[in-house]
Amino acid sequence: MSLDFEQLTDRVNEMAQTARERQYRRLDRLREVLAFLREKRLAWEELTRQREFIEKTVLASRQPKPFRGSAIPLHMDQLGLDEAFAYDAGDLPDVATIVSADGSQIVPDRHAAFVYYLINIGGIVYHHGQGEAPEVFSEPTLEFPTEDELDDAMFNNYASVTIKRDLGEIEMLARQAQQYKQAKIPLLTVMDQRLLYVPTGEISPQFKDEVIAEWQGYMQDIRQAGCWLAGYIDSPRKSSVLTMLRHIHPERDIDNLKDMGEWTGLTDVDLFSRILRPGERSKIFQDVSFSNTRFRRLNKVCFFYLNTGGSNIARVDLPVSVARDATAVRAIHAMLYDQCQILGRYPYVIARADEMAVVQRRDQEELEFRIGRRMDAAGLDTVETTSKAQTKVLARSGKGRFEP
Amino acid sequence: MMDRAQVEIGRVLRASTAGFAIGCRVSQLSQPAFGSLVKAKPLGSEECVYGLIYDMHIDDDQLIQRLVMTENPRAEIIEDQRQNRMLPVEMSVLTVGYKQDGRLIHGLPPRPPLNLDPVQLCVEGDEVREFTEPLGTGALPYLRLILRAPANRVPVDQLLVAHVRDVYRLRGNDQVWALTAVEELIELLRSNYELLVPTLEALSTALPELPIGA
Repeated sequence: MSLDFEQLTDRVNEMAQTARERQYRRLDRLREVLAFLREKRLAWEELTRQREFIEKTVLASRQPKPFRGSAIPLHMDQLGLDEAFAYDAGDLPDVATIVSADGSQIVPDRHAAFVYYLINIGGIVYHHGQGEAPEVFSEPTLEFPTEDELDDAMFNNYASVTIKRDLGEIEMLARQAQQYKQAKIPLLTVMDQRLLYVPTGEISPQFKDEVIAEWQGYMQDIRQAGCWLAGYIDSPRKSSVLTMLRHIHPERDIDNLKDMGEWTGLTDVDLFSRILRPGERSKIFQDVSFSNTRFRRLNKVCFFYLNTGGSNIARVDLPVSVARDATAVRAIHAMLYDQCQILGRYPYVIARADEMAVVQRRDQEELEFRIGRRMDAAGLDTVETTSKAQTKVLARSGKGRFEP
Repeated sequence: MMDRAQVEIGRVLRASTAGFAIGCRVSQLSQPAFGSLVKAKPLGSEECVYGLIYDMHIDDDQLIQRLVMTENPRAEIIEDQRQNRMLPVEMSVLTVGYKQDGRLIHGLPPRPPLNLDPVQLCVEGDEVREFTEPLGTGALPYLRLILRAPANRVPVDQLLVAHVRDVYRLRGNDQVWALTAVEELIELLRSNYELLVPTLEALSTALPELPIGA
């Protein structure tokens, strides 16, 4: 049944009104946060004490207090928390290679005629400064049950397919990095997600550990190939830096590390959109969280915020081994911002990687048509879609018109 | 006149009896031109369908639209768009004849070409002469197919000019042929001055060495 829009008119008006009021309140709170940030811009001792407190009472504790995660500046020097590092075209390498990979999937559908899943990893190898066409790649993997699919977790647990896709992305980056690295030409691998990978879904703790270990293995491969790795997150929702600040605020709730008081609902993007101008990046912070404790020393994840244009703020994750390399950080900052200038606000290589990875609806239909043909050729009676699926198709089909 | 080897310019995307569309890569675009005579010829077959290119277009998408707005798009981006992205150049072809069982017929074929049949540019002197050779009466019957094309989709006058100019040169500046074509057009368009006059004027400009005005 179609939406009755008349019934929704008042609520839509109320929604806009509420959004405006929320925005005003937000701006008020943000002014306070900014003032506090500037007051504490060089409060290294306080921040260090707080970090040590968290490590002792939370991260290393057998009975940790509830904690969402915060941050600590990687460099505690004369450059304050509100420092903005400008884009410098001089930091852009004359010649470099940028590799980006992305993944998409068709999850198993128990209402469909065939049980399978597909993961497609696509990407681009961009030769910056060389005037050549990039190389693109797309690698599909089709999996189907070899035993009773009800017993095979991969066909009943969509989270597992998503995890496999994520691992496929970083594995591809590691592989391409090893293939394309040339002496004296920097190579940056960049993916469209966080580096601090935390597998989610209904999975066992043991499987979780295995996934994180495998993820870090690829991080190590990239590092040992002499390449850089970055995670790029557009429109991030974290509040790690805000949490860090809140933990040294005089009105903080000492017994509740998750309490943000009047700052509830604000994010790091809200903060840095007021500090960073186009092309500027923030100081580098190291993530302070349970997740980062599971990452080995050189893989620990750091990040900075980057204004990619207008007031668009992205987060760039880096392994600490890269974050500590000032030359690498300047080059990565320059390359990513340079990439954002091509399309405006979003890196070209990541946009192309997404395009190479995506599985369109028509691709899926073509694949299922081919599967059906082979099943027929193999003499198999293909099971029709379930009654539920068939009925949905009928009810959702478009309207026809009589044409004389 | 320069004889060139058969040049494949693309493959059939879709087709009907009256014409077909060719898809090709940007790298294949340097040879074919508006008005060129082409043929769709399946591999291993002697049958083919002849046509004239009457439209060439290159689609865009949102990514191209965004890139166009940048100042001085860099070479890597241009090459990525041209070599990697799946945006084929598309050419529309008006059918003007076919060859079957070794016979050349200036009419609509019994069947259109199939998807992915390779399409070649007709540049070999012998083949062009064979297709465009007037009948014993001096008629060029395939010109009727051009004149019957829907004017709202096919720029008939410009197509005629481009084709006559192209064939004139491929036949080695064959003035006799060109004037035969002009006479045929005058005969076929004697009741359609609206099309005849601008066509003759355009031909006279395109081929000033010919006494078309006389």
